[in-house]
Amino acid sequence: MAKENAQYWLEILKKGNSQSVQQIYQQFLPGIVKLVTNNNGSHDQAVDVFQEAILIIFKKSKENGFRLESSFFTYLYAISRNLWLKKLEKNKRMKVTFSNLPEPISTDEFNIIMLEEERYRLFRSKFSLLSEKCQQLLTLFFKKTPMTEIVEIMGFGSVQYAKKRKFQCKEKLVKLVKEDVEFKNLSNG
Amino acid sequence: MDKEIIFEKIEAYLEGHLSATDQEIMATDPSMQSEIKLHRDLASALAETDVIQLENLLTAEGKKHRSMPEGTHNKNKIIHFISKYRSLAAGLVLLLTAAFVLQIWTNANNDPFADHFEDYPMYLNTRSGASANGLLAEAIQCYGNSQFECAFSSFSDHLKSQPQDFGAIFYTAMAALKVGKTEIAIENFLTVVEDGDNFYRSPAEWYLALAYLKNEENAPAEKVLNEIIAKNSEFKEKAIALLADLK
Repeated sequence: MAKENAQYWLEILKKGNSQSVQQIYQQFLPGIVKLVTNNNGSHDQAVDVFQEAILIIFKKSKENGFRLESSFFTYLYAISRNLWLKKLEKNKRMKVTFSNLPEPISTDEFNIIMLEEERYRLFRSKFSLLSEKCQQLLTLFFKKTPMTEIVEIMGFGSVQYAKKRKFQCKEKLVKLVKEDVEFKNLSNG
Repeated sequence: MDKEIIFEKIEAYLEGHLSATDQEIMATDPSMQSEIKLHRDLASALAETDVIQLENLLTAEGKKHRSMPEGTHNKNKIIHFISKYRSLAAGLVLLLTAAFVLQIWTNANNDPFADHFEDYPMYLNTRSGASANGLLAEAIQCYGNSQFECAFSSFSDHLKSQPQDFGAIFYTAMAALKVGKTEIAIENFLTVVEDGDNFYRSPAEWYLALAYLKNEENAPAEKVLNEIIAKNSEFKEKAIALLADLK
């Protein structure tokens, strides 16, 4: 039953449209709000934790062989709980021991996922600061679109120019990332 | 090593496109490891367009579920303050209004592109280029009459038969800039600048910086401006003034 339930919600999540996201919020956010607000957090912090946890589940669900042995909510709750503990640990500089991690994730793996997700979120936020053209160009590049196709899609005059623009956009992105204090912390962590 | 070359080398390494020896050198060079990791992670993070899309949807939906819309707390405090100190509040409102008007006036006048852009005179004539033709004459005439769509189209057509006519490339870029085709303008200015051996190189650098600014790409604009200053170009003073405005 739990597996069926989990599969159902994973499918909803994978639809990735506003209706499915709305459904997930309505169904599961209240439980996470209760978890966070009962543990020194605010409603808005709960929404942040909820969003991060959903993203982690989404990314995990894309891995080969990923299976949920518990219900979707149990899994979401466990991830959210540990995310919140991690935030408390960071803010209050206290050592936190993770517990009740969901079945497919070990403590080590969870730490790796957390760190990676924080780095990736930083990258995405810096990426959103680039011009629309730069975002479009870099997305095509990161998706390994051949340069000749990029030239066509972007309406550039030559491959040489496309490469030049790609470098400029990427250079700007790298600079934005490196200048962020959080990036230094994440790199050292 | 030039940054562009380093980027290309890292990308080639990540794609496995280097020779076996170079792959080995890159893999074992300690100074490159953090850069390689950053480029690898950027590629992984930003290729996941489904994750980016989901994050955007979650953020949009999340706004509806937050306890109070942003700024509501502050608004409540302001209302409380106003009811308590009415006369002081009236003065404050006047002050804020004046500040607001000043802010709008400042913002309206704070467009570095508009502030620093000036038309460049037309130096081409129908005898310019290897062989003057009807298209070039038409382009020059359109440009002179401020018909920039027509100028852009005629210069572009002329370049199909005279792709090395750097004067025409420069004015194509100028016309493109005028009609809002900023990407094309940048591309053409870069072509003129990179040739390095033509009459239009210096103005092309200056207008390239302006085109970047119009495209809201301040970092490359500042880089070009610094290059103009470093090489003592005829646009040095303009570049210094523009850089000062940007800072």
